[in-house]
Amino acid sequence: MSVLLKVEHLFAGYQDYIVKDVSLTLKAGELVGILGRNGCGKSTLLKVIMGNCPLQKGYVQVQERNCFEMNIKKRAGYLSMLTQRNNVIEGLSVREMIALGNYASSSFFSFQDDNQTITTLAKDYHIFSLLDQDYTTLSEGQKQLVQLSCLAMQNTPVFLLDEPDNALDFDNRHFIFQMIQNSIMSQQKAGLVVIHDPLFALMYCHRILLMSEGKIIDEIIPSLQTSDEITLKIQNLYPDIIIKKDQDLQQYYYFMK
Amino acid sequence: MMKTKHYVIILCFLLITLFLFSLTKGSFALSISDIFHILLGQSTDFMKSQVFFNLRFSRVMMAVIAGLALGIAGAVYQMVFSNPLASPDLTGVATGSSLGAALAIVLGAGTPYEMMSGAFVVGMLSLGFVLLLVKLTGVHRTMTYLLAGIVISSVGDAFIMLLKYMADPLGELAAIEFWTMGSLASMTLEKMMMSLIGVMIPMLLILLCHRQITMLSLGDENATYLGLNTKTFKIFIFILTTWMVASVVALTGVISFVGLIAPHIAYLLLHKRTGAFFICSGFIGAILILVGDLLARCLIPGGELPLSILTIFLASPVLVFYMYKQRGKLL
Repeated sequence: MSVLLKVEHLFAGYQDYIVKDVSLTLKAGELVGILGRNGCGKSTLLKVIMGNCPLQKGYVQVQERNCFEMNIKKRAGYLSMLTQRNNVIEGLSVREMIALGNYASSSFFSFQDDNQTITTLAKDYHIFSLLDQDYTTLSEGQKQLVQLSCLAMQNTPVFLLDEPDNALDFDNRHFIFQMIQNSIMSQQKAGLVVIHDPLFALMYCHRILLMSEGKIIDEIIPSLQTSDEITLKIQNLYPDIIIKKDQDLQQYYYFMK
Repeated sequence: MMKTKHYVIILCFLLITLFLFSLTKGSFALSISDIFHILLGQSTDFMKSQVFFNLRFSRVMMAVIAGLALGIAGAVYQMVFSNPLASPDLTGVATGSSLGAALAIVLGAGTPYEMMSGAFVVGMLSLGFVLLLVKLTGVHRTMTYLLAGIVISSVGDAFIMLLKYMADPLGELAAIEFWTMGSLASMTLEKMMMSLIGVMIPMLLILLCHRQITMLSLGDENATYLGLNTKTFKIFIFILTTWMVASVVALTGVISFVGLIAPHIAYLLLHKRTGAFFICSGFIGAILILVGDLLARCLIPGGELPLSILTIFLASPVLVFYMYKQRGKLL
């Protein structure tokens, strides 16, 4: 499997380092989760990779090209990110929102809304009937689906997701992660996702990085490790948790001590 | 989709009708056929063609230019600040520009070109101060922008008052007073052409960049991730809008409220803030100022009301209606 994203010895932050010596790689077809407590630097790490936070040392490569040396538009052709967008002004339709995803691949004068791609994407993400609605009138789950289609429109080899399941109900969280997993597997992309719920991470991610105080302290590979091994590792973050796996259903569940 | 197109056509038609109607009205009445003869060069009445070219045409054109500029600038501000209350009035740019023009008068630089530069520089400065204040507080919220805008506008007003106090009461004072109320009365063909050029260049660039402006409304971070160099582009847009507003304000004075209200009417009609929204907001601004100026000329026979009085009276009900529609929602 080819390496899509390579992050080497990244240090970043303002006065103190918030991200300390982080190295990681993402391969094609891989969804990697980041687990960590609030304030451990997960979101900052994503921002640093996107080049939106003061970098002190290190580099980020996508498909062996140094991202920090690219201009912003070119970089947006290699890396994209899903953030929490809660401050959108009324007056943007879902269609227009999705269309913004192709800015990075369009030139200044020859821009046209790619209606066919938008329609296909909207059907894939079950939001076709919402295309002409105002974005601000949607529910949180629908908004997140629109953001995912916008990300699919941007169509970068690597994408980062900052808590994509935030504010979603139970059903929608699973649906969102299934959609993310599908697009990664089917198009051989790579995704890095910040997650709060260990069970969701175990269920959908191929690898999980555990982060604490700005460093990656451990790695979990759910398919290779027993639930006892996983429990020991996650207990470094959440001391009271016990992870179990149901062997019949091949699904994880947890207890609190 | 079709709906938007219809609105653009209706507004355009309304604007042209009002434009032609405005040309005929005034203390010296001209009929449509008079205007035709003048335009075709067949008019023998020297007086009529003088009135037409030097007074009427420049004045009515200036109303359209000012309305387009303020309407579009208002629409752009709403998007860039991602806030329906942002407008050149509230972010301090309008006050700053009139301070610049007033400064130019007191310093003895009275040519339209010098006043335009003064308006541009001080307008940019006040916008810079507003952004600096917001940055100092570190809170990027609606309230912060509005408060900072009010602070800077007030400081600008204070300086204008100071200038009035120091101004020579016979010449300069009247000239400054004229700025604070807005008027198209002293428009000439030459001034109008200057303003036209000053407005058209930034306006075309802004309309070409409407997609990028839409992206800015998502916030700097999101726009960057989509591939827009937000820092550079924001400064570019601020320069263009301030240039546009300054080119108008330097010649007409502060025309209150149009920059705030035109985009609101456009949004109420179109229910969107992308694409045609910008030009529609400009059309509506132009219609508002045309109507305002028409009333300013015709309400008192032989007299002349300051334009801002009328634009405020026209615009306030719309703002009240908007607030009524927004009831229950947090601004």
